[in-house]
Amino acid sequence: MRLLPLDYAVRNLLRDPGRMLQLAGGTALVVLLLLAAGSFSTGMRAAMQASGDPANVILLSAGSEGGIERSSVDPGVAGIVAASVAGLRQSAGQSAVSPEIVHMTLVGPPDGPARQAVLRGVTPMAFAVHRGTRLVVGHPPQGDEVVVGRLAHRRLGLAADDLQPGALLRLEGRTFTVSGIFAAPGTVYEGEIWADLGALMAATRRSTISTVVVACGSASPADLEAFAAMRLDLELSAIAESDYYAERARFFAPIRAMAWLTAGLIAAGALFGGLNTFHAAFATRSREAATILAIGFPRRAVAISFFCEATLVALVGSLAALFAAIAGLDGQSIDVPGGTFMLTLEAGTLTASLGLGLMLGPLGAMLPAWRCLSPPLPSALRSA
Amino acid sequence: MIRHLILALSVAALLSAAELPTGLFVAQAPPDAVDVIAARTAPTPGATVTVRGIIGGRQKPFVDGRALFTIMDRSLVCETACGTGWSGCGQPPEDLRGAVASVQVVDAAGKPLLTTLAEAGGLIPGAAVIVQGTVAAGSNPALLVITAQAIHRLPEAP
Repeated sequence: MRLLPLDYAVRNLLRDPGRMLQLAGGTALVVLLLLAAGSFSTGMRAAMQASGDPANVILLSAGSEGGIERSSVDPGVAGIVAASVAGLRQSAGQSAVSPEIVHMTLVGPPDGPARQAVLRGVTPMAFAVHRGTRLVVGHPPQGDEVVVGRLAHRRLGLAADDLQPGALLRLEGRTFTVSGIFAAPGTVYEGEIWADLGALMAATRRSTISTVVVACGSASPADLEAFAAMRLDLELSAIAESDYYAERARFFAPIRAMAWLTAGLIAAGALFGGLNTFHAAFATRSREAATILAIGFPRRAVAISFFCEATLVALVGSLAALFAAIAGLDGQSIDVPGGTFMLTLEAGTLTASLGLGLMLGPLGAMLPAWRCLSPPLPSALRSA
Repeated sequence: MIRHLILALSVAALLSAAELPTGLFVAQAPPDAVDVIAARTAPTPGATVTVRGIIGGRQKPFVDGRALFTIMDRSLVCETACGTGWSGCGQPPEDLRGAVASVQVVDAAGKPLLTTLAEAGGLIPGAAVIVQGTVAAGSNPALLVITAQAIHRLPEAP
């Protein structure tokens, strides 16, 4: 079969730059939205998975229904657990048991606007229990000091330089000094601000803590569950940290579904828009196509040329979206209630989004091409 | 293939059940049982006790991999739309606090056996049981732990 040369398709594309930009822009928008939805979903799922250490167990108050923010536990529980449960991980000769407060409040510089942030009241043991966290610079908080996660400045709407050691933060009517910066790669902790447990209890006027996070060594999560069931006077429930964050991920599932639905609806809209634009583009060329058929090229050759044209424009749009996503989406932080995570472009998302973007062109061109090439040759040659 | 799987699962279930002491589940109800609230008034560690209660008092009364469950005084069971009135979910915490107890089946070292009691001997959340055993060390009016020697499941209320 004789095919039309590829440069015929390229020249046709450049014949109307406005139309080409319209088609490429529509494809780019769809691919960008798919990449955004995919990176949002991947980033959130990965952060929740990374935040839950399978060796850690969270002790919450029995009536808190699994929410750390609603939980209220006696501060003495940490000591009782350490003394009662054998086989806990040891750190510097002590059982790795971390009493913590998780508190959401307005935080900001003394002379600037305040924003909602997640505060965690901790003792130095928190760095041993949450194994993924490490101080990058500075020292653990003491007194009215805080350490900030690497992404906390984004949550507060500040530049990274504004949240270096020595910076001041105002929260709960008190001024705290940043004593360090910690990293917790891929987890929701990176968007948090960690304060000294005692200082945060005083600032928030709390007499109870939110949770006790226990790191198991030879003990198993079942031992902590048994402890909670035996010590009914403490009114605790025990949940594996990985299960807790898996449950949180399920809580955000409707948001992820909405993101995919929005992307899907816009993709459908773009497909119909593409149909319309291709129809207009090919309809004006039906006489030209008929002439090509008249000089001996088969219908399939013209159709393939149309599909090449559509695929080229989809390729331009998809590549533009890919570069925009790499530059503007990958690694950007997103704040959700309870933490911060990074948008993550993974191979699966890239393949699916680019594949769909490339398919949009031929799909959009199929019906207009058929309408353009189906009329009998004599009537097509006489058409305007 | 499926028959082998069923056989393996049956053997595993039998081995798991074999860890529980023989004679733990009794068909005859032990006499002179008292309710959980009454049993908690002055528990004496080491004393023999026979307690009647409902398996529950919390959302998950059984512990996976440990021979341990919690019971609640039968007066606190309520009819709730959620269908888990045995968990005490409809009760004020201060009422629930004084009406629950833990039941354990222990090994020679005094630790709960490494098996679950869920569904063993027909035990399920919400089931009424009479537990005969001894008051475990550390029990006091705020905390009652019973080391069970005999468990009888009461028939369903009509």
